[in-house]
Amino acid sequence: MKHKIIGKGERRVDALGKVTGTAKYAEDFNVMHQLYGKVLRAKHPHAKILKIDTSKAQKLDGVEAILTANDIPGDKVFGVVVRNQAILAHDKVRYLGDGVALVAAKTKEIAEQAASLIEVEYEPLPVISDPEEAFKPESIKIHGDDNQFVHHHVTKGDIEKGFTEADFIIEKKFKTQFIEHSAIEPEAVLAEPAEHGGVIVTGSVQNLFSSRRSVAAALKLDLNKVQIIQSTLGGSFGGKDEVMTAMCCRAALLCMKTGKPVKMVNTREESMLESYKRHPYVLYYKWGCKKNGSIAAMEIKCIADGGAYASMSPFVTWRSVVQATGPYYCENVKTDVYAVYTNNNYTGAMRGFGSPQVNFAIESMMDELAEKVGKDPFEIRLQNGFETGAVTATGQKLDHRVSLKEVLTKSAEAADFLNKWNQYRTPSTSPKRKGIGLACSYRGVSLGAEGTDAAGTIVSVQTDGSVIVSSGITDMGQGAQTQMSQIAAEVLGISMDRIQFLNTNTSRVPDSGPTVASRGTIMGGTAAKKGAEIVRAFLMKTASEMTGLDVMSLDFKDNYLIDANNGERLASFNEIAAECFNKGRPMYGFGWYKSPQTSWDEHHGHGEAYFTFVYGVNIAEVEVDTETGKVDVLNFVSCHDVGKAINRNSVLGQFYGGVAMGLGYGLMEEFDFEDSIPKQLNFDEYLIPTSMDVPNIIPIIVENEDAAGPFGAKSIGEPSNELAAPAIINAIYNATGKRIYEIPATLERVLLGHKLTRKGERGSAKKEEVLADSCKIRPEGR
Amino acid sequence: MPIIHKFDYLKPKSLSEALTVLAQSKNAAILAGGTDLVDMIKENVAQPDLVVDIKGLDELNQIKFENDTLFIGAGATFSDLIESKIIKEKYPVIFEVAKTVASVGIRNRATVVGNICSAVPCMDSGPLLIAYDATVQLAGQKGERKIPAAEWFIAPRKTALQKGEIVTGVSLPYPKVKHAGCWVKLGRYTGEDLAQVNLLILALSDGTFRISFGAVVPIPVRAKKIEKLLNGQTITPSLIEKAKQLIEEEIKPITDVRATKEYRIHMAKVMFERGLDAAIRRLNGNGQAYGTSMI
Repeated sequence: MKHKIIGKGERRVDALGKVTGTAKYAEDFNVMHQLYGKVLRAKHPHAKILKIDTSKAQKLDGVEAILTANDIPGDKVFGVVVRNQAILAHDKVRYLGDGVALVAAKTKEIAEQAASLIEVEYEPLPVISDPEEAFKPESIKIHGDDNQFVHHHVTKGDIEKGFTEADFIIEKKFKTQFIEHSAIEPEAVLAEPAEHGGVIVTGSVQNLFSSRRSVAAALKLDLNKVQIIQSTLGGSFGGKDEVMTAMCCRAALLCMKTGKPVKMVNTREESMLESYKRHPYVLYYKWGCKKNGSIAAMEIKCIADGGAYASMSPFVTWRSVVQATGPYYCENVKTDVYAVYTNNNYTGAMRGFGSPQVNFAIESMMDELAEKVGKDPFEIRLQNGFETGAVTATGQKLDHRVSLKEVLTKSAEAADFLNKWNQYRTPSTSPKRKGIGLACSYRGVSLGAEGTDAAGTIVSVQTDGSVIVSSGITDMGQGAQTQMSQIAAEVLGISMDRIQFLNTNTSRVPDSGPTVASRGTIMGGTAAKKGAEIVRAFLMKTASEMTGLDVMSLDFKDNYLIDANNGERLASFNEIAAECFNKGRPMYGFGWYKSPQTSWDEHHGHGEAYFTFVYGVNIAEVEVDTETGKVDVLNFVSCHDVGKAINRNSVLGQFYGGVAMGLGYGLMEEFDFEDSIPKQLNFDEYLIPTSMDVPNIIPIIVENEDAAGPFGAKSIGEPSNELAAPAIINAIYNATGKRIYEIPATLERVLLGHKLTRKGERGSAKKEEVLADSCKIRPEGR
Repeated sequence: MPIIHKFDYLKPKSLSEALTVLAQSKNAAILAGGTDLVDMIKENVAQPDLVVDIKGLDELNQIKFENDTLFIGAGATFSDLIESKIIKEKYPVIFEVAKTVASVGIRNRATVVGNICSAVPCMDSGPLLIAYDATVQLAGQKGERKIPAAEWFIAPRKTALQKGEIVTGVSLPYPKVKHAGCWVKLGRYTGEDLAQVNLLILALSDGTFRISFGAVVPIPVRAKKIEKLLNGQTITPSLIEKAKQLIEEEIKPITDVRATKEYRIHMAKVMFERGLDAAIRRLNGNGQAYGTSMI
């Protein structure tokens, strides 16, 4: 079917406001008489709170309220899965980002000063910063009586039998790091008393409905008394969930206490100190392989550092356990994924959600297997990769079109992979060596069996034919509003300039679950399509009456009603809208989409985990300076089957941004701790790639339309980000013959094979466990 | 963070006015680019009672070449250096240094003089000035003072500046013979970073070399032993090896959050070898263009 708007690079609906400055980000909202809220945070990563004395701060002129956990009328903790995250710490602090007290004052300066006058007496407790330490029975417990709070497993076939059948075993340990989301806009809200009771919070909130539940519970209010309004968001990448819930609760508490509006804005330092990160994993991969390159058994164990609170760990690690084998055939699988509490920053949702970690291990293992059996990375993946009808490790039969081999072949051709790979393998004497590496991934779309998966979008036609669209799915910069508008415009046969999109408001749109898991387009978009189809039916009925023609022979195109047989324009869309209103018909379509059924048996670790999957390949070409350890990424191919690209430019934006972020994951980003104290709180020390670090990227969009999504669309937000790192690591191997088992592959890890970490006194160092080969000496026999 | 301390702000119209108010105040801070000072005030590390903004003093905003000496005024920014014709012509290595300082936005504000007044070990201007045997020029109520750059730096964040004085600029005498140079700066990625190792090498046509290190020492140093070894000699691979052996005697790197001691030492050697090669090639007219990174 030929589309007018779907598949085009339509201008984003929020573009003009963003480039001209009329878009309002959370910090841009100011009202008369607003107070400034400030959080006093913990002094120790783990300590009992003995006493909080606010008397000095109370006396400061301009201070309007000081609150501690005791002042919270309702629930003092929140959490989507495990309810244990403190709005304000009450018994003890569990990480440095914990809030201990709140101040509301007339100016930011007074709030700052008041916070410094609050005296808190602590009894420091032993600190657990290593997740493997947390497992030990003698370790101090951070919550309850066990630091381990998640164990997911998947089993398939007979693992013992598989290893017996194997000709050889590859067994490796991998490590990944904490990652900061690095959204350009730090957290901010404005909480205002509502005129008929309750509270209105406007802010940079990603998941408005879960934040609303927590605010209502903390304030003992009905959900209809808490209105959360999304301001234009300056990026999220999964990072504006719980940290924003905490900020919404705190600002709302101060607002209800004072009866005045309260503004709260995190500085970058506060944001990095408090916000959750991507989970670091320790991954133990053991594969039993055959000489022909097939895999007879996979035994996998992953330990995720959950940090101080449960947050999304149970779901993040569930995606890991489902996808831990990669898109590869293996009859005998045993996977165990654990999450444990530590006193580090809590870890939660971040673009990828449990996949970047396992993909790094899987794709490194796959290259090792290729090397062992004398095959190339392309051939080994073609041999083992899933095809349509394959059965995954969780026992799910993939009955959609499995396009792994298509994306693999297209990428390899575009990158001239095999020629380059063979050429770069030949040892050279130059200190600068080129290499090329590839990585594959498959990813379950949307929430899967994590929980209820449904969303609603409202399409409301006005009497002049203009249209207002709103949804429970939020736009954080990924372009959800544009995609949903394009879908509505396509169905109604109107141009994009007739559509106005509204930011999400919890009181005006239905709870559509969180905007996560790359589900915005597939869920909100399908709901938009349904909503538009409902309105279209009313308009068509009107048009049919007006023209005397059958509905089947009419169509809307380019803002006109046309005769579908000859394209003749019969009336403008505006006239039909006016007439529809005059006839007293509803011009309001509410589209609701519930995803296809999924299932999960936690006991056996089996199930139809996701209703469909996407497939992608990244190829990185690098130059490694073997004298300095510097890795320059020269060229990059990013290829993904997106089902259908609703907006070509948005899809390309996801490709490019995903690669840039993945490059940071592979080469430089690391949120590092020393005894649970963050070593970096701003971008001077936390490095993210700049435009000067991002290579030339060749994007390849593959479109195998999927029945589950609007016009066949699936997902791209997270897929684009989850496989760049292993492609780069494999390229480093191709260049140097040395493999990195712990990311990021910083200069020092590449050059020296290890990183020294600072310990204790200035200038002294301890050597970390060696998890990489040094590229300084070239191995023999390559 | 909001600024929680109050202070007065003054933008004098003449140097003498600036010196007068400086003499009268208890704890004044001088504001040029402000890239260091404003952050320190925000973080409450600096608590001046008066901020004296010298950006309005035209006499300090100059870059000029007179009597075989380059004068860089206290108001000259790194962007000014990059755009200066006289620098590209006579001192292209200054252009090479300036290009590696932070990012465009910072370079549009930050000054060389501010950089040497902050005097943090990883500064980029220090090795440059001591390699050129530069002089720091000061003005005070009692008159003017000139201090060799090598004596200017006392310790990290500590300089020879006295209360009531303003650095008016720095003077870099043009070497008596033809010369070329190379600046090598180690950052962790291509984007802006604070140096983990800094190295400036000047190769002169009389067969002498000037070599200075920064970031791997508390204050920038001239590598005197290496200079002595190389001066007047034919540069051979074995001589370079000998010079590299001396590097560990010249520098005192530490391990911090940015890089380890082990890596800094290794890189100082690699950078020295590549920088020396590049400087000699440039002197001989067959080197890479200034602004090309050697690492």
